[in-house]
Amino acid sequence: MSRAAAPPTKITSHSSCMISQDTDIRGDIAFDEGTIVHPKSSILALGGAISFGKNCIIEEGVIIVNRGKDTMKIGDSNHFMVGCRIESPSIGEWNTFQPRSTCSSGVIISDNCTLSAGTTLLHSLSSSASTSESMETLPPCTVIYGSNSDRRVWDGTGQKAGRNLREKHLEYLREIIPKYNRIRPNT
Amino acid sequence: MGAFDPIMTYEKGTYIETDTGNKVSRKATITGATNIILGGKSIIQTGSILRGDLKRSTAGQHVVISMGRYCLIGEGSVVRPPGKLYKGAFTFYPVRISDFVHIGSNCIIEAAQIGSGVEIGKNCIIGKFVIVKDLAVILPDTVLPEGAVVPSMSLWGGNPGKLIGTLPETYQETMEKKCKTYYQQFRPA
Amino acid sequence: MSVSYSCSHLATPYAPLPPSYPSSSTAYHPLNKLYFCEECDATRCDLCVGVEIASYFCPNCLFDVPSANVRADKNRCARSCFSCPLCESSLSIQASDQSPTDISTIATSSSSGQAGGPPYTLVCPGCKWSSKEIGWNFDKPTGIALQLSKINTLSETVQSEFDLIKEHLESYITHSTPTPSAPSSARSSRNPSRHISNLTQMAQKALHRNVGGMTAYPAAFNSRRPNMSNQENKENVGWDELAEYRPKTSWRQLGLERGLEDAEKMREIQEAGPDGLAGLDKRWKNSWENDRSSKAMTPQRIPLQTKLTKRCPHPNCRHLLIQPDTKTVRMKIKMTASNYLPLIEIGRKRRRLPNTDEIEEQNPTFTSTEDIDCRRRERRRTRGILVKEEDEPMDSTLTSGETYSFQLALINPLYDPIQIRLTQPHTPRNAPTPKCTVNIPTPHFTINALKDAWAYDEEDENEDILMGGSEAGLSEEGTTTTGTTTTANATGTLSKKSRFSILANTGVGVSNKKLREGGVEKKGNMSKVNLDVELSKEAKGKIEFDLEVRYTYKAEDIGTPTDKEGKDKSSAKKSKDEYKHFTFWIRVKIGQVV
Repeated sequence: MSRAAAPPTKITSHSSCMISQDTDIRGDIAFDEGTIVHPKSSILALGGAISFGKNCIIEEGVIIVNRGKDTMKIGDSNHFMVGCRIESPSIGEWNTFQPRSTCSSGVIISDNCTLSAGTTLLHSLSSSASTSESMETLPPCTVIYGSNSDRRVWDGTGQKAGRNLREKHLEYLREIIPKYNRIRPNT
Repeated sequence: MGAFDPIMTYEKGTYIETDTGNKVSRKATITGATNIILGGKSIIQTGSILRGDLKRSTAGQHVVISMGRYCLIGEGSVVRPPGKLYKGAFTFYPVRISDFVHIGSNCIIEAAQIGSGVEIGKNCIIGKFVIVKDLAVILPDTVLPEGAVVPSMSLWGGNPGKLIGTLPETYQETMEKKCKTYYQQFRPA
Repeated sequence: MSVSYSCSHLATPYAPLPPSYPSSSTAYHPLNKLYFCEECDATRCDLCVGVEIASYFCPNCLFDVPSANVRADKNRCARSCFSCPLCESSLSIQASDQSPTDISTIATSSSSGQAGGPPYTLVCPGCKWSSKEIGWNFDKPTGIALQLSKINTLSETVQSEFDLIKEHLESYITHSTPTPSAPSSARSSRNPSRHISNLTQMAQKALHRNVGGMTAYPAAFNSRRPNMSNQENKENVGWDELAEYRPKTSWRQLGLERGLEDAEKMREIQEAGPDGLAGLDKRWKNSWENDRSSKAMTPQRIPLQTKLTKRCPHPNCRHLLIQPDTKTVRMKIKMTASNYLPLIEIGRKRRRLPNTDEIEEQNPTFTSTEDIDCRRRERRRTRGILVKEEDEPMDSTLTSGETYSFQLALINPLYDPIQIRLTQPHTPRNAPTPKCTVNIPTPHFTINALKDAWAYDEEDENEDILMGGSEAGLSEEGTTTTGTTTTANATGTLSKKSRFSILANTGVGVSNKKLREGGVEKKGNMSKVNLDVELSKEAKGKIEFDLEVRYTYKAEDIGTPTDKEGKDKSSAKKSKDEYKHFTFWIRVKIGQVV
């Protein structure tokens, strides 16, 4: 890369984290309690740092990039599914990024949002098209769906069941991931 | 179908050939290999990921990914078992893939079952617990949501995927021939 | 690049019009979509076959719906299959969250949350739409459609109106079903939909009715009408008057003429913006005219799908061509053309470069034997005229005025060797000049028989070994072959082939012949021939041409174990070696001139 002096890799992780060895992790990255990183994922802090909250799941083929100067803050209990690509500067909690969803750097994601499989979240044209500099914040419980990446608001049906599922999922992954994958030693 | 298909070559040594004729790229990520069964003459291409480690929660040996004969997992595709709660506990469920299944490049497969003679185009996302019955075509770039059912002899496309047509009655022969030809044309340089 | 096959529908086979007539396009279909009727000895296509519904099923729950229930179910799944009003994915049933305790307790108690309980809702896995949004909740997770029909019946007026129309038409349909003593029963008994023909008669009658103000030809009408009615009386069908239908309530009373209400709607839509209006694709699957705004859309029961039985369209034949099995994907009867006609493919596009410089020819830059062989062969074929050719990708565009050479591969589906004759069909007089002229250097050749599947598989396995080992034989063989790998391969398979053909007792004579008979490349049951296409200077757009393919096969004696062709049987009785012909036409699309 021509960009001068990518920051040195520094991984800070809580002892309960599970970060696979077979991952591409660069730059200053912090993982809080219970976050699980599957093999073959990439977390690249090319500019500022990236900090993960508690109990996030990062599956294979996920690419999370921070090109900006500021720290990319990712909240608790987010689920990044296979092959999604995240450049959003800030992410709240309990969001679901379904397989191969893409999130551009122009949007801040709040809480309980869902990006359905194969969708792309871009800066909304209708809200403030003229000022491309300004950040857009995706309101809580937004669902991005379909081939046109339409937006709608989720009414919260099945929220508890969904949260319960994610917690159990994490629990099981903690048990099974170290059996078959090499885990990075804690730092 | 076949007569003018170009020969696809790979550098010798980049693929491992098993006794039953499976060709597995050395650059494919296969976790929990003991939980994966390949039927023979199947091809797993470079950059694909097979998650054999995500097994059932109950104790004992479990097959996590099973695949029949003349299958293809295209470059960069991911096959991963779907998971859900069962009696209050989380568990993964196996992915069963039958014979003559072609999965194009860069697909994400979390299906529970893919029947025989199924063609999945490139860049498809097959959601959790999807059931694809025997003889079906899923067009490139299709996204099938969780739990979708694809009946036999149907053609699907779009995001979210919809049933958009039926296949000609000759499809089974066409697909089997295609899979066999592909396997024969895929050989070391 | 495609090859499609002709279907002359019900007419006796004829050469369809050349590609310059756009109307000829309906005569051609890809081979995998064609059927073959053995009784008529003709190809049939989806445009002409008779179609009947063999069974109904729901594409989501895969339930086989008995045809008796289909009408009552209004052709939709009557169990629990609904499609999302927003994205049309099939909805899943979700139990509601446990009693309104806060989330923290859920997290601690492991038993709760998983079981869930009533009320149940329909949720979309794609867009997270939930039926709570429109107030649909269910007590049980099964039989949603039934539960819904109890809650949500059609409005009184609509249902009663529907019943009235049904009653009105039903009396007519039952009345006009054919009487068993109908005359000309040979024809009418074959017609499964007698009342349809009555409907057309009705339409005819309506057309012949006197129109007010049209007095120009009253005589003509009057003279014809008694005639017609006489005929119908003779036919004993008796077509009844369909009484005029009187609706229970007028649309004016129903308030379809909305006035201010419409204006209000318009205002609402304007406020809601583009997302507020439901797309046409979502609305037209609804049976009734309803609200246009997207928030009023309700889940629809998933429409049923069918398995079809297909019949030969010939009135004297009507044999089954396709009969599906309700339970499995197998077909009980499957008469597809791919089992009868050779599969034809086109490939290896080469452009002929007009420069004939011998200097380059003598220049030893092309040292590989392949290139030299290629040239030699080329020189021989074009009888001394030196030409250079170069391979082009198949999907590249064509240039007008150039000459291209192609290879045509024909694959024999029969267990007997066949002889092929390729010709160009006659073009009608006054036809526009074709965009290209086609030259077929080898119009007559043979194709070897298809072998049994087991013999085939074994050959595949041996192929890899042969590929590696036959390198040495290539150079000496090269003088008579193209030097491509396929022929090198074929030399190796020759011995095997003859062995198998002796075993199988078919095609002994042919398979032992020389592999190449003047420009024909052979491998297994495939023959490849060359084809030169010269594009005219004015050629533009899609370039396609037609070919007439006649194949001759030996209708062998009954002892042949591989004889599964019904059409062979009749001739086999007469003599031992009888040759039969079949002619069809193909349209070859070779690309575009930009």
